[in-house]
Amino acid sequence: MAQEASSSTSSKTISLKTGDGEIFEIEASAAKQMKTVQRLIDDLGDDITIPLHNVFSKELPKIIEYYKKDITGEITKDFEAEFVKDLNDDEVKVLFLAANYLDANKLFEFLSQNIADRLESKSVEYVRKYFGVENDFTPEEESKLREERAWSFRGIKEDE
Amino acid sequence: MEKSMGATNAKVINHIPEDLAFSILSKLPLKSLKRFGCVRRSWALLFENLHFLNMYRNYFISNNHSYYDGTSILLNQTNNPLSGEAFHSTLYLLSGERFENMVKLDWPPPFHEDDSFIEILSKTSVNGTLCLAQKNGMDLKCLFWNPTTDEFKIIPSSPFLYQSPYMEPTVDFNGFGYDHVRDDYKVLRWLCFFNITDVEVPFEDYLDVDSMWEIYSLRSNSWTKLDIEMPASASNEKLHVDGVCHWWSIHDDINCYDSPPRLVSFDLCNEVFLTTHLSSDMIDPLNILHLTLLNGFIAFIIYDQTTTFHIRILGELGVKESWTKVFILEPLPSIEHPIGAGRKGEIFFRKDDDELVWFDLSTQMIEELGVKGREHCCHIVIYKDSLLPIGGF
Repeated sequence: MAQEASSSTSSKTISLKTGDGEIFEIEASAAKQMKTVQRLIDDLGDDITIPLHNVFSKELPKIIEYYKKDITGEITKDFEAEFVKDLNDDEVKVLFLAANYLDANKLFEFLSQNIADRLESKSVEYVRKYFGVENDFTPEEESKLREERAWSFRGIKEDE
Repeated sequence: MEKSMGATNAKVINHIPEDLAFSILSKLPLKSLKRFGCVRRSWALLFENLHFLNMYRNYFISNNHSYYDGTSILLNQTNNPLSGEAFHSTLYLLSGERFENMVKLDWPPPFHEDDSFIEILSKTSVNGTLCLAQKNGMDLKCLFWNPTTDEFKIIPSSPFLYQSPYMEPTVDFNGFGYDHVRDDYKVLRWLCFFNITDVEVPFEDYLDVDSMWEIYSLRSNSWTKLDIEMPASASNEKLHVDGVCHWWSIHDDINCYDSPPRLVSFDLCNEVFLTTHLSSDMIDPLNILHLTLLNGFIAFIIYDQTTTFHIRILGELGVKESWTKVFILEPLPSIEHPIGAGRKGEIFFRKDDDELVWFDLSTQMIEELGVKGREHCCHIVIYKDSLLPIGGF
């Protein structure tokens, strides 16, 4: 059950339960930044543990960490760089999708930019796998397009 | 229990839905976007997808390029005089969210007697210094000026101007900028000589060339002839970004024949140039081209009589295929021609009644600046102030 806030009226905490059954606490003001959570609070009340079926225990603490910094106005370029430094491309993707699910706009925009930066020099094949999309070109169409856009492949290592 | 959850996660999370993908794609540089057009069909036509285009445009406008950090906007305006009146160039510093503050700056002393048609080279500043030029018949003034400290330094005359008593040059100031390798300020100029006398020029007095490029270096305080064949500028729009001077030309390399319009980019450090042709759909005899810097990108504003303005930004220098259609402004009634771009997606125009206005790309609103100007004689300059002495050395 959620604990009542101790002293100040603004430090009420909300309980969030991940899809894999773990519970995390978050301050109400941070919860406000995640519109999905806020909507659930509005519907279910703030004393109930809010279920987040599509967010898991690996990602949620990281997201909470981000918004903890956000409510104290401490998000700087340095903090953001540190935040993603040790994450690989797939881990950032999971966070990105979680931020989307939670409708956490600021984190979503930051992670979109970070993913864009990571993908900038990647190959077409890598990007296909990353986004989980199928190549729907015919071989002729694709080679024609690659030829037209040959300049955009200069200096890029294509996977085999 | 954790393991099976992990497996389900992998399946579910592998695919990123297209609208989420757009959030990522819209933040990529053009070169990457064009390459990723080969990922799947819908991505080959990203710029024709209105949903994507809107995201790209929003990101483009809101993304503050570091070029503009700490900069302000200067307006170099020329009046449209009534008969009997003289021409005057007036320099304004524009500030405020909507440019509601316009402060007139005084030109430095060499221009106090005659302030007509003062050009601010390459619409840029280097360490707070502008390069000003004025051509008045035989009289050629060129100097560096820091409007913040009021220091100015006159650039000496070039020994190449009057090499022959029979020939006189027309002078085209092509650019001013910074050579970061030598920590030097440079001014690039094109001289085109023509016979000023009625007589046949004696053979021994004929110049080897009828046009030449010269470059001034502040460190050496002298003009040097450039041994280069490069297309000269076709317009007043000249830019400087990161040590490269840009202009556009309709001439070939030896300036003999007309050719399709191309962007010319001269690197002040190695003193070589690169040409970028325009894509065929940008070229039309009825089109008017205006070269500008838009949010850090080299861009052409292309328009004709219909007051619709098409904006093409350059993805990569030297690559004709990388001109990308990003904005269409249409139609803007009474707007005659652009005069430059600001720092955050503002485009400045002159109207047919001489009023100077600015267009906000994000709100699509047009606002008057409160000053009028003469056709093709008003320019916007991006200025970054500094208290350093001119040249910093």
